[in-house]
Amino acid sequence: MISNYRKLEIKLMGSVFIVPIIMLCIVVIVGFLSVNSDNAEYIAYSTMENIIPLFAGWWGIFGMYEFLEAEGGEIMLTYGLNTFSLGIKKNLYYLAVYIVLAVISSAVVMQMVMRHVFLDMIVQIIFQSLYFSAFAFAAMVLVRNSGWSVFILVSYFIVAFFTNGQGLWIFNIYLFKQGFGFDEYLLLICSKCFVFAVLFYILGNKLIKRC
Amino acid sequence: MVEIQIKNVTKKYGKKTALNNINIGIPTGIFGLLGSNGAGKTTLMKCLVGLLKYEGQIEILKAGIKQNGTIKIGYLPQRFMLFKQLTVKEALEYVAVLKKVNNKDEIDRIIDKVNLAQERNKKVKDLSGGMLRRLGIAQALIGNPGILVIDEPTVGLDPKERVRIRNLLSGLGDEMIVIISTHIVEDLDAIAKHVAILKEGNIIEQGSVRDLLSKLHGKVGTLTIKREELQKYESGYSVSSVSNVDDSLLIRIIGDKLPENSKLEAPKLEDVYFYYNGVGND
Repeated sequence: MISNYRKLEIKLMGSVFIVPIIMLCIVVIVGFLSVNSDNAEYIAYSTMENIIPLFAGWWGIFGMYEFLEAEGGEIMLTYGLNTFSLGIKKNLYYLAVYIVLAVISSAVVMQMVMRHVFLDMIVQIIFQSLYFSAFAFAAMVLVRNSGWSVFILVSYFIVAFFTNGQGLWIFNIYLFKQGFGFDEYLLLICSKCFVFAVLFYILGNKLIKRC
Repeated sequence: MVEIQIKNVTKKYGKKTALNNINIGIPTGIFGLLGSNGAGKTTLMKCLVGLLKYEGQIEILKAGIKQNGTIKIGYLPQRFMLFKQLTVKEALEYVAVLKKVNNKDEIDRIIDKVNLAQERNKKVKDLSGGMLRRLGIAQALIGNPGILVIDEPTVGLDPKERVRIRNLLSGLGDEMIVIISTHIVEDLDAIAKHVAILKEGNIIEQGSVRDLLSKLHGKVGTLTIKREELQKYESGYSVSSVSNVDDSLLIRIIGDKLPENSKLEAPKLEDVYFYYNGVGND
């Protein structure tokens, strides 16, 4: 029954469900195509940092479509479910699945390009994905519209990309490094991701209860 | 016997009072909540199913409808467009999982009950308005709730589908408490045993349909008038219907003292609604 439930949840999302999987495949394909490039390491790093975290909140947004956006979604609260299980719990479940797939994809890319899997990149991707997942959750709860939530996330990314993170002030969680390796800045960004993720989840959970 | 007791329920949105000290006793069977748009029906429904916080108390006295401390209430809001990507059967399976109902036979039984057997493999997004309402009722029935709360069940439906929904609800009224909110009086005319009339957040009348109708005996009549007299009658009485008869008009009027030339008629629920709510308030 549980697996049938997940199957139905995926079906409910429709064709948008496949988007994060396609993006992870693109990361792997770009890594594969850049193996013989002089800038292979930089290309692999940039692709992973720019694409993987951005799509971490995708399933979280569309997984809450029925509850927050579709007409009559409030009836789910009469099923004996609470806002936590319909919100944060579901969001974290999808994040966990996404992180597993993201870690596998990035490990494949690093193995192809550098013949080595860098733990710092894995840690970075996990924390940045956590940030984006929580950010997407808060955005979806706030605007209750999947299209606008995606727009907010993409806008965030575009500002970060074109201003090298400076346009996002303290909300920047990108490193824009040239390569791999642990450093203090990575630890700072990971801490920031964690703190903001917690704040976004708290904010989202508070807003989701509004009637 | 009263099964749900609503005591002094007040709901405010900021400074606006949507429900003002509501007191209603709801017995078994079909209970109608009548009122014009904006009267507070939907707000009261949402308070009943626990979607809104309110001042006051709602006591569920009916036995056997609590499961693990939670009251089993089936609810269908006015607007229902969920599970578009799923088929009818999948949508109900999904609801069953959410409600933690493991009985697969129950889904088939409910599909048959709401007469969606032929559409069980049809996608929800391809259903007609009436089928969608029936699916909405089906999702509310999963888990065998003792109380069914339905908001505006027939709005926007064609006459045939309205009758079908009405018959379905009528059958359900024998098994559980069915609370229907509507501004379409005909929806309740033949099926409701008790009604309450809401106006601007206040209950203006409530009771058994029989009692309410008996209160109107001698207060409903018809008479034929000249066209130019219509305005005069509208200002003195509630005129619930006007029809053309040759060069004259046949009007149905409701008032405490009818004109001598009027012919007394048996009151209908619609007359009760107009008597207490006024014709011009919709």
